[in-house]
Order: sequence, then structure tokens, then C-alpha cells
Amino acid sequence: MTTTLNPLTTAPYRAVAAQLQRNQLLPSPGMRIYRSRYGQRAEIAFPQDPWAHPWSTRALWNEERKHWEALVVVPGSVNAIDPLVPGQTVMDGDKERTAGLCDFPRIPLKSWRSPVANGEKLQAFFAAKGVRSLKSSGLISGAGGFTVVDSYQPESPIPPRTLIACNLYLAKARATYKAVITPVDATGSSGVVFDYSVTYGTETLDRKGVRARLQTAAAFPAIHKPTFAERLLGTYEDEGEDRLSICTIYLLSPPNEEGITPDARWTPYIQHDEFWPLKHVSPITSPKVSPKPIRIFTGLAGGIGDSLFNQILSSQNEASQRIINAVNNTVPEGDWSLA
Amino acid sequence: MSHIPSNLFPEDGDILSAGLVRGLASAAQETTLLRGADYLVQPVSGQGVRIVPIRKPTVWEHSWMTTLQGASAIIRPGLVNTVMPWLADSAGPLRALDGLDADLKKHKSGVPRLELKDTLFDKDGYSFIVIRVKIDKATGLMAKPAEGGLTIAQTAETTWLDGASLDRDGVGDCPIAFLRRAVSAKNGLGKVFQVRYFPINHRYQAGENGGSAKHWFLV
Repeated sequence: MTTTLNPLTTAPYRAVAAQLQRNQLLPSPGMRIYRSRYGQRAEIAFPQDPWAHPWSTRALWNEERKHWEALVVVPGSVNAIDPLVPGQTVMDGDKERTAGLCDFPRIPLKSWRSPVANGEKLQAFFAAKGVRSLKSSGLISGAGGFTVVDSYQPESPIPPRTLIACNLYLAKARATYKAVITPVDATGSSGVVFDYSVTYGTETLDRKGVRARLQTAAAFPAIHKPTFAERLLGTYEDEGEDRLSICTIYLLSPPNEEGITPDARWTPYIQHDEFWPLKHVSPITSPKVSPKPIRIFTGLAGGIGDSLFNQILSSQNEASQRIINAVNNTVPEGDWSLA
Repeated sequence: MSHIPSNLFPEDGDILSAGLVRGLASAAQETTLLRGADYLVQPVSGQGVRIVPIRKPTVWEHSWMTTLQGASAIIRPGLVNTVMPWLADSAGPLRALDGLDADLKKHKSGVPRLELKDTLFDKDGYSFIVIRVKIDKATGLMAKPAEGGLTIAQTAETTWLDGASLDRDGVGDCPIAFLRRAVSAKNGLGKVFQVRYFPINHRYQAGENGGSAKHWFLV
């Protein structure tokens, strides 16, 4: 039997159906959702409540702005103060200031990478949930570093899912060292003479301040570690900043979802790298008195005066050792450790 | 069932069949939130339901755990070079954080509390609870806790932003927690955030080449 109602009532009917849809509990990490025809029930997945450690991060969907956000629910600290979060502000009286982690800012996550396309090792956890590795997903690295997506060839009954990721990381400005080699007398009869000195700079520190910053990026921006030769010759540009990954935020798409624009239906997973308050110690300390440059005499011009070479050699060796010591003592990278 | 079937959404002008209405009623039943092991479900008339957690969070009572009680802070005992700091309050003289005196007897004044002052905040609204170490600069040795060599204090000064505490006439500070005053709050103590969780080793580094002497507080 068909009950005929006024067709105009479909609008409120649809609104009720949509409201019911909104009432449904969505899966989230750490919670199990059970559904039956009698109702739905949520349970914490862990037998004991996990201890929320410093830097504990959650990913939340912002329905109003239609993007995912990170919230550090237990603020961590660097040198006993919470990091600033550039780009996030709070009103302090009538003044606007940059938010710190203790202000619990929601950090927008707008830049993502595809770990699979980047060739990162796929964790078994995500493989079991349907994320395909580079080979099986049909993602092929093309010439010139491009990645093209081939037609998908399912290999297992698990419906495929897309995985994207981004990183939260700490950045801390510090002073820099740079080697400077200055010719003093390159044409004189005494041979080539040059001064080797190490200069101390605070440009990044002056610009960004002493307080650590918590930032986001599609991928953790690793810092180039200069070789001994690069440090010796001063041929690398020191960024004046140390960085440390706090966590990787993964978003897993619903089954059979292609594309990398996440919405509320995607499921977040957080892999933490840090669990404790941190201390950052820079090996660079401002010298009270500028050190004297190390002066080096090379051999006499034209190869004459061989009898003098041995005499010169001893001072050469001493100068070389002093330079090696200077380079070894002016490693700019700071050290992150447990506070 | 993980979602409301799309066939339960009629278009304008469609006839609402008994099947559609039954489907909607069934879907409504399925979205009823049932009581779980971890929470109670409390219907709020005309508004919805409220989930009330019924499991207490696990509290790990670690060294230096700082909790606010009114205008004072209670600090769980911890060790610096295997020695426990002492603290005085309005209830009694210097005594160890666990409330024992030099003879390891329970002090009549009980466990000491750090009485906090809302004037000791910096311009950004931070105040720090620190372990304060006082050393003899000639020997580098720490004075006895009962003589004020190892105490707990509140300060608004930051002398440790490069990872070590700068020496101030033999005194060095190690922050164990900080207070963050709420945005826009002109007074009040705000919330406490923990910095240290473990026993600490203190080392004194004399200044070299005109540099400042430093106190290192290592895990």
C-alpha cells in the first residue's frame, strides 16, 4: 500500500534525513564505533586511557572553513617556554599578538604531500587499510621527476584508499658562524699570505627571535648539514635555524576515494616524533673579544728558497691544525634534547 | 550501516511512500546514541544528547608534578644530584618537599607549598616555578638544602633561554613548570604547564674567555 502525502512535505522530510546523517558518529583514532539497528555506541579503543604527553596533537575538521586543523592538546615547551605559532594570532587586551602553543591555536593544515608518490616507505598499518604502494597503486615515476597516475589495478579485496600527510615541526633561530679567507699579500716576495677567520652572525636570531616556532609543511624541511670542506671554505649558506619534527599528520581517505582534497570523511592518524619538553642548546656563543684571524704563509713564489721550506713547514702545520680546531669548534648546528 | 541511504532523500514533487517513511524511521533509530562502557548518555530535552565520560584519566605522579591549589602550588618531590629541594611557606620554615626535616622526621607543618604571587609575571603573562641552586663559586659545590642551597622559587626572569641558566652570583634557576596567565587577564595565576618530569643532575660551568658562568640542569 502506498501512502500519498502532500509533495510539499518532502523538504522537511529531507531536512530530517540530513539531520539524521549529521547525528551519526564518525570513526576517529582511538575510538571504536559500533552500529546496530538499535543505535550506535562508542568505546575507547585502548584498555587504558593513554597518557597525553607533551606535544600530543589532534587533527580536527573545521566545518566552517572546510579544512583540517591541528590542535596540540598538551603544549610542549622549548627551553621552558611554549613555542610561538606564526600566522596565528590572539587578542591580548586591545593588542593582537602571535599565539603561543599555550593559547591552544587551531593550526590550519593546507599543504599536503602524498607519501606514496614521494616514494616514502609505506607503513604496514596503512597498507592493511588499503593504501597501495607505489608499484601496486599504478603510480609511476616519470622522467624529470614527474609522477603520473596509471589506471588503477586492484590486487586485493580491500578497497583502495588515498593517503596524504604533512608535518608539524619546530624551528629555532640561532647565531651562525662563517669562514672568511682574506688574501693579505698575494704578490709580495714573501709568498702568498692570507688570513683565515671565523665570523659570528645573528641575522636570523635578530629577525626571528630567541623563542622556538611551531610550523607546518607538506614535508619536514630538512637542513643541509655542511661537510668539513664546506665549513672550512665557507661555501655554504647557513640558514641560522635548527629544526625538529614534532609529528606527522596522516589523512586516510574513505574507500575508493581518489583525489587528494581531504574533507570531513577522511580519517586522521598522528605519528608523534617527540613526547617530552625539549631543550635547545646552540654551541655558538657570542665571543666577548673577536678572535684574531689565523695567518697562513704558503711557499715562496717560484719555488725558490727550498732550504727555507722546512722552516716554513712547521708554522704551516701549526696554522693548519689551528684551522682544523677552529672549524671543529665552530659547528653551528644546535642540539635538541630532553628538558 | 554507515550512512543514510541516498534513496531516502526524495526530490521535490516525489511522493513520500510508506517505504520512505519507514526507512527514515529505521535510520533515526539507528542513530540513537546508546550508553557505552566509557560514557553515559544524557538526553537534553529538545536539544540533543550529551556524552559524559565516566572513566577517570590516568594520572602519572612524576617528579616535580606541579598542581595549583588556590594561590599556592604543590610540587611533588624530585631529586637534584640525588638531593631533594627544600621549601618554606607561611605554615613553617624550610623543609623538604616531602615534608621531612633534616632528621628525616615528619615536620609538624606538613608538606610545604609554594605561595604564588600574581605580581611575579613577565610582560607576556608568564611566570616560572624554578629549582634554585646556590653554589660556592670557589668550590662549585652546592650549599646544603637546609641552608638554602636547593630551594623552589617563583620568578618572572628568564635566564635560561639558551638551554642553560646564566649564573647570578652563584645562583642558577631550573624551570620545572610555568604559569600562563589567560589572554587579557590582568591578574590571576592562569594555568600551569609542566616542563620537568625526571630527576635532575646539576653541573656548574665556570665562565671562560670573559663569558658568563652557567648552570646546566641535565636529565
